[in-house]
Amino acid sequence: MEYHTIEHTADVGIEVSAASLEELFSGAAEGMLSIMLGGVEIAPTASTEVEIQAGDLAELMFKWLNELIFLVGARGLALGAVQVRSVTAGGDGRERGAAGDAAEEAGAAATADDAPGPGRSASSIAATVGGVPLDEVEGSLETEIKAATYHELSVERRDGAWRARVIFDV
Amino acid sequence: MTRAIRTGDYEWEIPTSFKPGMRVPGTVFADEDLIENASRDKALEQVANVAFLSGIVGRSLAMPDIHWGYGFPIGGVAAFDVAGGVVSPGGVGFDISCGVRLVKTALAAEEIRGDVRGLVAQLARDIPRGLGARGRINASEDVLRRVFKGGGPELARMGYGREEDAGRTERGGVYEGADPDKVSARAYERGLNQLGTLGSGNHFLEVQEVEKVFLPDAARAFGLREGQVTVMIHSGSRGTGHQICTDYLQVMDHAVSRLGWELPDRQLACAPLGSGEASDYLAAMACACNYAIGNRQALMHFTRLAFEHHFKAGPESLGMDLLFDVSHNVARFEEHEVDGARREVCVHRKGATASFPAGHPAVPEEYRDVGQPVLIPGDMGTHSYVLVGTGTAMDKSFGSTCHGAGRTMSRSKAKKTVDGRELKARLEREGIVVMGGKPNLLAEEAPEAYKDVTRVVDVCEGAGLSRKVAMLKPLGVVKG
Repeated sequence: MEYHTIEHTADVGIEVSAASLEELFSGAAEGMLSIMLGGVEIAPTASTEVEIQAGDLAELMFKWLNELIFLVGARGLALGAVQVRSVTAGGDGRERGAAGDAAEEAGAAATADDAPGPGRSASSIAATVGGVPLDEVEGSLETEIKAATYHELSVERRDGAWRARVIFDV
Repeated sequence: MTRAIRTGDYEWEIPTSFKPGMRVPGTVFADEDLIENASRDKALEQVANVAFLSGIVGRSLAMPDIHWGYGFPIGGVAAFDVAGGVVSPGGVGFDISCGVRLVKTALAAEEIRGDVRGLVAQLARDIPRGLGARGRINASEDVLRRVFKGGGPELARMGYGREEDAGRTERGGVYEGADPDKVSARAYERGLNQLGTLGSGNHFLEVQEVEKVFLPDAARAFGLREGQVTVMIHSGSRGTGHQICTDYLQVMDHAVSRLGWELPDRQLACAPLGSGEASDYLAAMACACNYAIGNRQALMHFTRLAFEHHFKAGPESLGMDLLFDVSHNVARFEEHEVDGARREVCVHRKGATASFPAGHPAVPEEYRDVGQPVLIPGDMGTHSYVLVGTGTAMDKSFGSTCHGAGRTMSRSKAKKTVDGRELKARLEREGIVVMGGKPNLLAEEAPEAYKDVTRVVDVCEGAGLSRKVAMLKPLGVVKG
């Protein structure tokens, strides 16, 4: 898994690539949290379960990252450990995050423009996130991210890897 | 891709051939350098994308501070017919009702010049600010419900300010139609600890001097004079507004899917005006607007107290009256003349400010002979401006003008190019005290990262959208 930030005039974005959907969603979270917290190392003292359902994978990414923003902003948690247990791509049920090439053959690419059609199951993510109270982190937040946006949001399988692109409002 | 076509001294057309699917052309108010700057990223394409939306009236517009945003460009203005048009949360922004408030004082800059550092230090102590900061107001859910409905006047009733402040705020400080039941539990939770907090990023509280008056009659009506000390506050609806926008983007995204609409950018998610989704969003948006105005009301109250404490003076002698408060991220129902007929439209201003002329009913009575005060914050270390609205703005831009300088450089490039500590030292040498804000934040907010605000307001004046009343010079600034 690797991620890097994207240049944007007013805001900031990330591009992530990974072998599996679980690593992709974990990497997107890690990338966003590194922007918010400045890469500070955190040894979690508390954790919470996150389970989300959405239509397509892009919407799932939108809801996933915005949930983490909520936990940081509203619950005052500096999140440092993100363990994504499973990500399921909405579709005919055969598309699984860990399926790799099999998922690609089944046409698993899902971009922000895909709308869930009739008979399609929801995408979902199940994860455990851990952190410490924000005021215990030296220097606290580095950058306030208001939200993950739908602008240029994509989650797709391309060139043998899962790839995501997200622009944040800062 | 077709380029923008010059149609006037400060007007450039984005023709419908720019991007197939545009229902109407676009107009960008700019000079040659500003349009060239806008052409370098996706800003002009975003002007074109807004023109895809159903029921758009007139043109997709952009102010001279235009830059690449998400969905709408920053600096974007678009109006939609109440019959057949849409409302789009992305056309308002995540920081719903982000805006500016200007407070006058009876102080002269000469009186306080040797004491600015002490004053700014007092403000830095007393104004809740910064990332993760908790406010000084104990806000329960019940208090938030009252603020969602009552806006600025509710904060004054709670003891944060004066009754007369409401009359010097857009719409009397209260957006009508707010329904606290349309705000999610998450949005309540994000707002509980942040009422009366400045925030971070490009938000600030700045002590200024009126350096130059351009229109003496308007300045007199506004109570401004050269050498006067003023305080400008730039803040918004904080986490509550961000969450409301996030929540309703999902609602609108599903509406778009259900209606089978194809949009050039998913962030333009919208719903037909009059639909359940649109009505619910507008009711929640009004709550966020009232929270933002209440937030700035509280910040002004803390500022007044800080001045009283620092100067050991009472409110009468300090004369800290509110000049005005404007929002620059909002959607409002307004009546405008379109093709010779009066029409009610939903005007979206995404990084743009209302600019109403003399005689307009929305202008407070005490300013109605002159026109609406328009408050334009400069970027850190540069001038800010007080402008006045014009009749030409009603003809050309649905009564709108710019909102600030507009970024020209990405945050990552600014951090690589500018050293925050050296910037702070440079500003100090220029006589501007800066307190708060981490070095990386200061670098992101460096003047080099923004357009020249004077150029932006001059283009607005050249295009007839607003006129300069006064130029404000920074003396000291508090960042989050």
